[in-house]
Amino acid sequence: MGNDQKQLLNSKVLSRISRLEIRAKGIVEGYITGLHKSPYHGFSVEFAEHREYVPGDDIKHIDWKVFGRSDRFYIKQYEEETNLISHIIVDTSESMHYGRPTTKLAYASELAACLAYLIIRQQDAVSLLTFDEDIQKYLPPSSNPGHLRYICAALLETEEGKKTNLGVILHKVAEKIKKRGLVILISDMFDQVENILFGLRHLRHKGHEVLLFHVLDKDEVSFPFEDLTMFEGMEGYQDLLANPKAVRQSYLEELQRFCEELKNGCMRNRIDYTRLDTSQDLSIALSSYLAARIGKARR
Amino acid sequence: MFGGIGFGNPLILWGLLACSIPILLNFFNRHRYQRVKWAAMEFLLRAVRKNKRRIQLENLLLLLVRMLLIAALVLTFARPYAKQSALLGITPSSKSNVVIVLDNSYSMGAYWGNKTYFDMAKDVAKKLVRQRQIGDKVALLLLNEKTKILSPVQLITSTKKGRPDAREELITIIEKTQVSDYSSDFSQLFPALKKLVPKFEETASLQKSIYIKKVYFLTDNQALGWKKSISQEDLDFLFKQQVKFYIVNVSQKSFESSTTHPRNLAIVDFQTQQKDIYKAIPSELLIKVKNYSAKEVKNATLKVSYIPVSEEKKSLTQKYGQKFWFRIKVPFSIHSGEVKTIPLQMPGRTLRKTGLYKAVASIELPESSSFDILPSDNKRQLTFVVQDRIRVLLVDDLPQWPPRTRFLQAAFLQSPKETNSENFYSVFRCETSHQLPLEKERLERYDIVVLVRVSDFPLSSRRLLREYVEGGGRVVIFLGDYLTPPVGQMYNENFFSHQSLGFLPARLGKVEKIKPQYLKPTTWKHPIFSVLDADYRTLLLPPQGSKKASVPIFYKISRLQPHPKARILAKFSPSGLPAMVEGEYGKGKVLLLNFSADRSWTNLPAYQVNLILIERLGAYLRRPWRGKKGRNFELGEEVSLPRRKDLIGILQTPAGKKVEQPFYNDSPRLLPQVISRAGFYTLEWYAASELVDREYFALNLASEEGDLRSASSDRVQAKLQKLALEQFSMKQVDAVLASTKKKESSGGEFWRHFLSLAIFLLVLELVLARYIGQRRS
Repeated sequence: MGNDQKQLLNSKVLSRISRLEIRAKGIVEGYITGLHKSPYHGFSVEFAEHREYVPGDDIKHIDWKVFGRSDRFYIKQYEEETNLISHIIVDTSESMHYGRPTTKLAYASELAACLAYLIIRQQDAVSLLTFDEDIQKYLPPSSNPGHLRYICAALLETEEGKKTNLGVILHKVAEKIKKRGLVILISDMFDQVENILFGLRHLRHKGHEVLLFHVLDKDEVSFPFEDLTMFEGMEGYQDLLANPKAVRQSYLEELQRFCEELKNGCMRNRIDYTRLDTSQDLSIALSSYLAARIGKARR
Repeated sequence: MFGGIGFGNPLILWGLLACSIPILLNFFNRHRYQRVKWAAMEFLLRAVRKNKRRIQLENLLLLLVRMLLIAALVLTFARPYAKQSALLGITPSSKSNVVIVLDNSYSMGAYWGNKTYFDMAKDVAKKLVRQRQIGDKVALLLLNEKTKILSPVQLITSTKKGRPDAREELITIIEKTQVSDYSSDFSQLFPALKKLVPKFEETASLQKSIYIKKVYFLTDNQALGWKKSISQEDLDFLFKQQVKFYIVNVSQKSFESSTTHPRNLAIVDFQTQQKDIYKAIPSELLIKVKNYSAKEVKNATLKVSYIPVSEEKKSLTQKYGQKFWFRIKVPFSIHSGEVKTIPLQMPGRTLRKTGLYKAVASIELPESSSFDILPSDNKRQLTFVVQDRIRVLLVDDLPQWPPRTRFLQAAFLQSPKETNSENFYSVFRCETSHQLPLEKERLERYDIVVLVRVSDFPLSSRRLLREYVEGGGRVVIFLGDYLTPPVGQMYNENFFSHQSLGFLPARLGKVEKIKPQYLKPTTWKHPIFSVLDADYRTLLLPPQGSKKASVPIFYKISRLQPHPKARILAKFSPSGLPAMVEGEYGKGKVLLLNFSADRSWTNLPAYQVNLILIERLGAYLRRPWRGKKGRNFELGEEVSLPRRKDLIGILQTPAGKKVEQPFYNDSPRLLPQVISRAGFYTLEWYAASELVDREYFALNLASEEGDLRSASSDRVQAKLQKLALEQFSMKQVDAVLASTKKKESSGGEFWRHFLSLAIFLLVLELVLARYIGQRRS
């Protein structure tokens, strides 16, 4: 029995994995049916039902035969099957270990598990890739329901990471993933915006659809400190003694500017950008994301 | 002094070190921080870089404001002052409101060298007045037991032609002031200051002047003066008014050390030993002398002079000087701190005149010894009355040998205690008569008439006796063997009538023999019996259980029926029948004794206790002195004399000054200002320029004032609590006056500017801190 399996069989780990699985299932079940649509039109399209035409529907979907018989406009609806491959990329750098009471990494892992479950549930293949300054783990794509367990285990086994090198990582990912698919990036994005956008453009260039979940901690968004504070830098930054009251305004401006730049860059590259903070309920985050996706698919 | 600027309280400048507190607090706070792991460091670094200069500037500004605030407060309390030139155009000139208080209690008359303390106080006062600048305001106050405003608030203005400078006027007033005979009560000063200080505001002043209120109290700082408590309200008022209080102690510091302790003897009390002094009977004067100095005084002499007031007038008119004064001298020595009572006997021959006497006691010290620094308390006056002896008439209308009155005479003329007859002088003058004098005038001469054995009263005698008792005469009636039933009936009819109260206090009853009885007073507190204290009661009554004790017994009595208004003074024991009954009739008194003056009814005359009882009885029945009374007062005490209607009263003071109408409105109280000196006073009553009568009284110094000990600085400070107080001795006074002169000739204090600056900085700090706080949050 290999080490990985031993760890997998470890009851604690197992129970944690199960919990993550169950949580992911719980969160996803409520939204799944009829919500998710593949952005791809596959080979085998099965007719599902007719629906009455309403203004705004594309006229190419009008069933003219029905019109001939009944003199009414009906639209044909199909259930589509996809052969989508999704790649979930999770940042496990040191900065992702920050967060009170939930770390950003825990939040990101939960989100990744949920998405993986969602995807596998639709019989699509999903792969997982974790990174810090380099690629740490890679689980190749699989649509096997058992694959979810491996993904969960891999997410839980992440170690204390190092510095982020997101720009470089994205280039590597772009090169590594050969087949076009959906790339879901979950990270706090603490890197140079230009580098990030450059990497993302590379992914887009390779024909991937990219979803970006920008995970921030609640404290990072609100900067709630009052008294004189020694900020201990992560990812190799020096410690800094500062009066939070004096710098709050500027800090929040800087953060906002960064997020805006990132968001605008994503929009320019037709990348879905979603900012999440760890205080937000994950179900709400997922629901808002999926709703956005569906709306986009319908358009 | 830095460049023309000095400080009133330079020690407070150490407080400038407190300016470092904000810096220290800043450093201290920089070590008190929380630690937080932080991921979004890049943004934080950028934010800090962007705000670094601004934050540093804000912090520096706040730090600076806080340091300046502390510095301004410290400088305010250090009371900076500057020469006019240093503050030219910055501050209005500073002026002084000065109250100079001169203590003129009689202890200030103490000598130091050739000068009295009061002379020294006057010198300091004059210096203070001379120091005043144009624009200053000055008031002069005199303090002893009371306060007196010598000069109300005056503004010192530039001298105008034809008008003397206010300073000169004040100096003239100070020079005229004299030591009083009053004692000191410093508590009186504060209510007076409370009234006086607001007057400074009401007086016109020079424009643009800041006034500093000062009180200079020039005193010997006698500990006695601080005895009374000072009103808290007055002290609070002076504190709120920011009055500076300077005490200049003119008494010498060396006085407190024993080696060079100056001499001060004082007569603290002067009185007669006996309450009543009788003509030609030697009597004693008691003089209480106290040595306040720390050394024994030897070879001192106590001198007492006295004279009947009537003789004094004669001596004056005949220009014999003091020839008629009787003098007694006695040498004495007295230890340090000792109070000695010295008795001096006035021989009987010097007391031959009845009426008012004046006496003066004084201490004389040998020339060779260092002299008494406070001579005014070495003398004391006294007035006393010499009365005529008590005249007793014994009436026994049945001559017999041996006379029935012999026991009574013996009792009246012998002292029960004095065995040596040479030294014995009876206060009674006893005469025996076989009948009542038929002239009213003659009868009136007697204080007491004793009816020893009177069995018949002619009508004229009865009326005379009745009038005598009504007019205040005293009658004693002894019962005895002559009391046959007809005599008893005569007494009852003539002197005890049921229709109208006669003067007899009891109806006489049947005379009968009884079992031996003892005399038992109703109350032992009665003046006749009070002399028989617990030990001597056995002289009248046998001790309990003892029947064989030798005490007087009574075996024959009359069954008396006392009048309801009469008082039973003694009863017979054990029968409880009345033995001595007293009644009042008109202004007089009648005493009925249910026993005989001889030994026919009792064996009392054979006992020594008879002498005591008769002597006490005589003293009890004595008529009160009808002449002038000896009146003696202490200065400060309220002096009241009976007012005479429709007569003009003129008071003659010891200095010979005559004051008409010396009374306080319609009251019998004399005006305090006319009786301000110790000595003898005469009040003469005139009816249309004709002298009708004279009253005399002696006024003495308060006895304690001779205690010249100074109050310690701490005690004075404790008394005056938070009042800004500085105390100087005479040695320091010149240096202090020089320094105050310097201060006062300067542009004055400008602490108010620093206070304004401190307030401004405080507001600035609050605004800045709030603004920065709000901006950051």
